[in-house]
Amino acid sequence: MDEIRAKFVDRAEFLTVYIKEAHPEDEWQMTVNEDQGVCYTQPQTLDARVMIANDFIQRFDYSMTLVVDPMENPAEEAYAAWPERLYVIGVDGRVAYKGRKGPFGFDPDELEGWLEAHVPTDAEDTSATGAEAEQI
Amino acid sequence: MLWKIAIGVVAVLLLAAVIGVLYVGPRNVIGILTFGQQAREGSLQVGDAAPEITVVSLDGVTEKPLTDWMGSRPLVLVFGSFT
Repeated sequence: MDEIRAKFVDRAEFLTVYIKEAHPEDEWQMTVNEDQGVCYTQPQTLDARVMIANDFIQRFDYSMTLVVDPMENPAEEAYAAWPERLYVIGVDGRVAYKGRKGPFGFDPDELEGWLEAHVPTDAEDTSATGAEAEQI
Repeated sequence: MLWKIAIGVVAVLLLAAVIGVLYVGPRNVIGILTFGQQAREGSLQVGDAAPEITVVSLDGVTEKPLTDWMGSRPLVLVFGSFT
């Protein structure tokens, strides 16, 4: 995602929404997480969720702006986002791209292709797709 | 004769099921059955108005609507968690 963001940072906003854990140790723990020491129980408080989000940022030196879904999980519910998912919202406030549900449908390459087609770089902005980008 | 074939088919199916569970991992099989349904297609479609959601900043206190990031440029939303 970092590469995609770097490529389109001048053309689009990027925001990570931290949602409920996919594989907490008290639900569906994954061996890969155990191997990497990523072992958390499902947060029961917002403070706990924020703490894990901050651990995530530190672990990966994550630079994208990140916000946290409240404990009632409104963002996850509205966007059917669990365990992970990608969307693009157009400037008109409407869903322009809906990625498939994760984990197997979580496809940054597909997103990059979509962005290339619909959100051209400055150098491409004078092309025909530039007009299309203005409508996203 | 027929019952021998039936027993053979059942045995093969059971063996395949056991191999499948061992291959995926018993913990993952339980996880898929218990939590897998949380991954859903959802009703939101391309062209729909983006749901207006209020999220929380990393200070754990400040609330902001997602619309704060919308409007001037296309907004890429990345949903996920550490685990």
